[in-house]
Amino acid sequence: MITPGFLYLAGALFLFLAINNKIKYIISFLITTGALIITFYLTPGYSLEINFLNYTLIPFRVDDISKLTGLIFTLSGLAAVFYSINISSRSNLQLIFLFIGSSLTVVFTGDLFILYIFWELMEISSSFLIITVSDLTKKTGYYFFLMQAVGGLSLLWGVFLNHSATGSLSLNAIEAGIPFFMIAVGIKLAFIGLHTWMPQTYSKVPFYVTVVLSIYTTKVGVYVMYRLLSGINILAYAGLISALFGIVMALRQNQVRKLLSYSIITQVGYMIIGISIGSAAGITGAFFHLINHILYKTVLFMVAGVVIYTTGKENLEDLGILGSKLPITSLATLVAFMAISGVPFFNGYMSKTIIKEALQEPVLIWGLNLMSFGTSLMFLKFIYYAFFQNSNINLNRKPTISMQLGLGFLTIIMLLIGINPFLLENLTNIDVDINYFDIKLMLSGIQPFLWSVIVFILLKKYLVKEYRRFIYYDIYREMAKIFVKIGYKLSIYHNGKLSKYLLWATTTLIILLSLLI
Amino acid sequence: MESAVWIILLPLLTAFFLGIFKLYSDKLFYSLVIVSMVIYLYLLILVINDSYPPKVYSIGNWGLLGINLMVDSFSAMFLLIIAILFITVIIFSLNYIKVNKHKFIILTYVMIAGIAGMVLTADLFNLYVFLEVSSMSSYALTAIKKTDKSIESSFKYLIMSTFGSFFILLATILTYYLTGTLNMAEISLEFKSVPFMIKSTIMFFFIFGYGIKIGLVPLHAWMPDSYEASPIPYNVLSSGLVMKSAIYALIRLLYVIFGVEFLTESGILNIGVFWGVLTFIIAHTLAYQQSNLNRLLGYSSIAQIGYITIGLFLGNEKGLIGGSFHILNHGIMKGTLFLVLGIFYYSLKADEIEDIQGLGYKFPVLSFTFVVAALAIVGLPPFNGFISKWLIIEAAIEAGFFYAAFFILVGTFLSLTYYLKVIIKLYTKTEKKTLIEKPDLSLKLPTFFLGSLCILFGIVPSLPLSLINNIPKFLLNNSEYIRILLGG
Amino acid sequence: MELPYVVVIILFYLGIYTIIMNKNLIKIVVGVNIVESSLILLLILISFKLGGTAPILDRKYELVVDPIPQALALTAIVIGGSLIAVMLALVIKIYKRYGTLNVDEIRKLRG
Repeated sequence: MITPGFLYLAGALFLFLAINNKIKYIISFLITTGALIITFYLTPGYSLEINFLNYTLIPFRVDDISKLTGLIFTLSGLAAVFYSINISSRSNLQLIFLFIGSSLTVVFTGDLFILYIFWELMEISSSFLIITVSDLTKKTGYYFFLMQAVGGLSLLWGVFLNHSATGSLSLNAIEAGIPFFMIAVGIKLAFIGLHTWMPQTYSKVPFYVTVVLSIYTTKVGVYVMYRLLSGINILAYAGLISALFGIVMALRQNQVRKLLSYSIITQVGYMIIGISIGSAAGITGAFFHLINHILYKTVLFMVAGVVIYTTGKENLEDLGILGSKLPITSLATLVAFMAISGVPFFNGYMSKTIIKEALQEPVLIWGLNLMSFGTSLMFLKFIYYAFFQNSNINLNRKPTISMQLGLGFLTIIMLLIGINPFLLENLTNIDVDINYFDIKLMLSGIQPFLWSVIVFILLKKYLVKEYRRFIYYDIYREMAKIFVKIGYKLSIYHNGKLSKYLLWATTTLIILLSLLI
Repeated sequence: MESAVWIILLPLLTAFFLGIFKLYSDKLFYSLVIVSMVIYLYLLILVINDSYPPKVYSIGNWGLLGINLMVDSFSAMFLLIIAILFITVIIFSLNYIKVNKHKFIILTYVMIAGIAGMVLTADLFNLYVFLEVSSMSSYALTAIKKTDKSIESSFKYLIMSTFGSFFILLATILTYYLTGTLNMAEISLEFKSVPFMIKSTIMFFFIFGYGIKIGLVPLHAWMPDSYEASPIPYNVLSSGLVMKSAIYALIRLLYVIFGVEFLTESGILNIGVFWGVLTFIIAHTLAYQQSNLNRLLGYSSIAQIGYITIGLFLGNEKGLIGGSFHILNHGIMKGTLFLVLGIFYYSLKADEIEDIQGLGYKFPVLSFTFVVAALAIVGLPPFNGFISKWLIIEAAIEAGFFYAAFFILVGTFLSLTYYLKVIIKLYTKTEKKTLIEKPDLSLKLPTFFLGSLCILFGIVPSLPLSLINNIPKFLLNNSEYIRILLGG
Repeated sequence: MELPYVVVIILFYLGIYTIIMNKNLIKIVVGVNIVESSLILLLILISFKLGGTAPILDRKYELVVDPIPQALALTAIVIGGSLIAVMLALVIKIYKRYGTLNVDEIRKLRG
């Protein structure tokens, strides 16, 4: 049986055959749609076993949640690949395929070994994508890879601890090593304090890479968090804090993609909360939110991409290009904005409602309201620059058709889900039992949005002001400096004098002999 | 005659005849190199195939009085490494070496004879002699470029290594004095009645002596020097075989002569594991500082030896399997890295990190091979280094050395810092650079061969593991080894 | 009977001391040689038996010395000799290139 992840991985190899653009299109089309169709017809409960070393591994296992995640991953993979196919070089496209393929494998895996391997492969492929894609991203790629490697290694250490405690590699038996799983997932999720890789990476790489990265990196983190760490209630508060931090940081940015990256941190906060409360409703809400978030955040990143592509710049002022000059893009922006702010009849509303209904603790409910408020506040800033500010920026070039296709495709799906929220439920046979169009629910859903509009109008001059970047302190860089300093000391100690080396040897001998007694 | 004997004799004889042919005809010289290489490969495969259950070859039918050769799975794995690396290096250096090519090839053959002898012999003094044979040719090979640096490094290597050899010889003599025999099996039996203190003193002498040749951390200082100044094909053999044969000899002595019970009792296993951790942490830290790629790879070799030491000193089955597998993998990975570097040096005289800037676009496939090998040596999946590190970590946890297991992961991170630096340099665009010489197929083919093994052994580790899995049977349980060696 | 062993030990330490503490390359080589000799002396000593003769297979000689260490000593001498030869060759090369025999000034390789 061909798994969707495997299909993408094979696609990365097949692309070696792509001598010209036509073949490249055909291969990409076949792979992406093929994966989508296969995922659609997967039956939950199916699993596959292989023997490797002394273990029995389950590289492929389907259940409701993984099918749901797989569906959105393949769907947005289709959109992302077509968005970037014209701009990206062949080798980068291969890396993108490898990246998508490994994240799909992670989603469908049934044991920790395969999970780790493809987690690392994701990290390797995305890092090389960042490194090779442009000359300006070398340092970013270095930082990104090291940071992700820390995550990967702590996942591995967690796997080892768990394996030695339980003797199994199964995903269902997590007993030990939980702090290390937390670090691993936290880095992927760009959790507060571990997020430093994200804004700089997403704002520096070419825009189509941002689109691809933003779809999978954090979302795989969410999925793995569900598998390994679901139901740890205390994490809900952590998610809340992380989300509020994201809001504060996002409001200070004046670069489009930085704002969007911090907004990812906020949105991931919803998912963390949903997963950590551990109830079925919470988890369903988190995953519906994951789907919705992928849809609108991808659209927003694509919009940012179109702006960069057409103007060559990416400050918030340059969003002024939107409007009558780019009709499709503007429409998509508006829909995505409504969705992310949780306005009823748009898709963000439904998942936010599910999560909110699943919550019991008042602190969290209020926190959630605050998060919605903050989210719409920061996107009002976005919209303000896009539509309400006079600008005289001109188009350098028109966006390509494939870009608009990718953008439009996702927007339509968003609208569909928004108007008929039961679509997702029917697709996955998960019944949430919430009437989304209940007046009370709709009112409580729209309240934070309305408040934010009022606050925005009142406090406009503070919010749209340009903030200086405050002093940038990155603890990881400081640690790296210490490491380099120690290395330098050690290295000048090797000063080439043979007598010194011999002295070291003799000392070692004496130490060895003294250990004897 | 027995094929195992010819594994030692053939390279020696070839070296001898090569020395004569060199004076008369180049054509004859090269055809002999090729012919003897092919025969040697055939012999190696023959012996490796026949290694389980272990075979004893007694030279000259002297029985236990004479010198015995013994082939078990551990030696068979080493013969496999010889087969892989020796062939690739000889093919590579036929085109690569410009200065003193004949001498280089002759000395390589002598060195291989020495290493094969170390691997096969079951006699203590014979081990010392073969060790000296291989070391002696290594000194010459280090100095073969005849630059200031190469002579300096050769001298340092010579003094340090001789310093270690003294202690090995001293320990050998003391062993003979105590037991009256040089056959490893008989020594092991006699050793049971030797007092604890004396036995452990001898053991420490062995460990110290071999520790210098292996390059464990405070004893390592000669090693990066020798890498920097010697020809790159020799570096492949040096990291893959010379260092490894020393650790092979040490492990063989410790497990067979002293026995695993004694090792546990004397606490050397704890010391070894700690030493391994110390070695790779310091070596990784130092490797980050290097600007010369040869030196960087040298430090990285020291670090990898640290991992191997941990695996082999854990004293359990998985550790031995993981450590041995890492010996094989490290030979392959480091070989790939050095050969790619060799091609860069061949065409652009580039061996500083600064010089290789932008080569990723000039040699796409070669650079890809480099990246694969670098990721493998860092220990990322799905390459072979990951599998062996996984085995070592698992064994360390099983043996209760949690700190060692944890630090292996830290080491993985540290090694990523500098390999990634190199890789990024490789893929940074630059304007200048003129190609001096285009590398031809005889340079590329061995490189790609080794590089593809990195991937193959990562995806199908059962291929080499079917051989390696037998190793612990005769090391952990030395009575089995002794019984076979004594002809029981 | 103990005295020769004491000599061996003194020679061994003397040689090691010379190698480590001397700055002059030639003296280091001499130190290596001294250690080498002490080990060969040790080999001879452990086979020595008072009044023993060479190991000739004949009933006439009852007390023979152990022949194996003597064979080993020969091998060790050969190895030692070749080592010293290589060392001295390198010392000559170093002197030609660096113009000094001080071991601390030969340090182009470092780091």
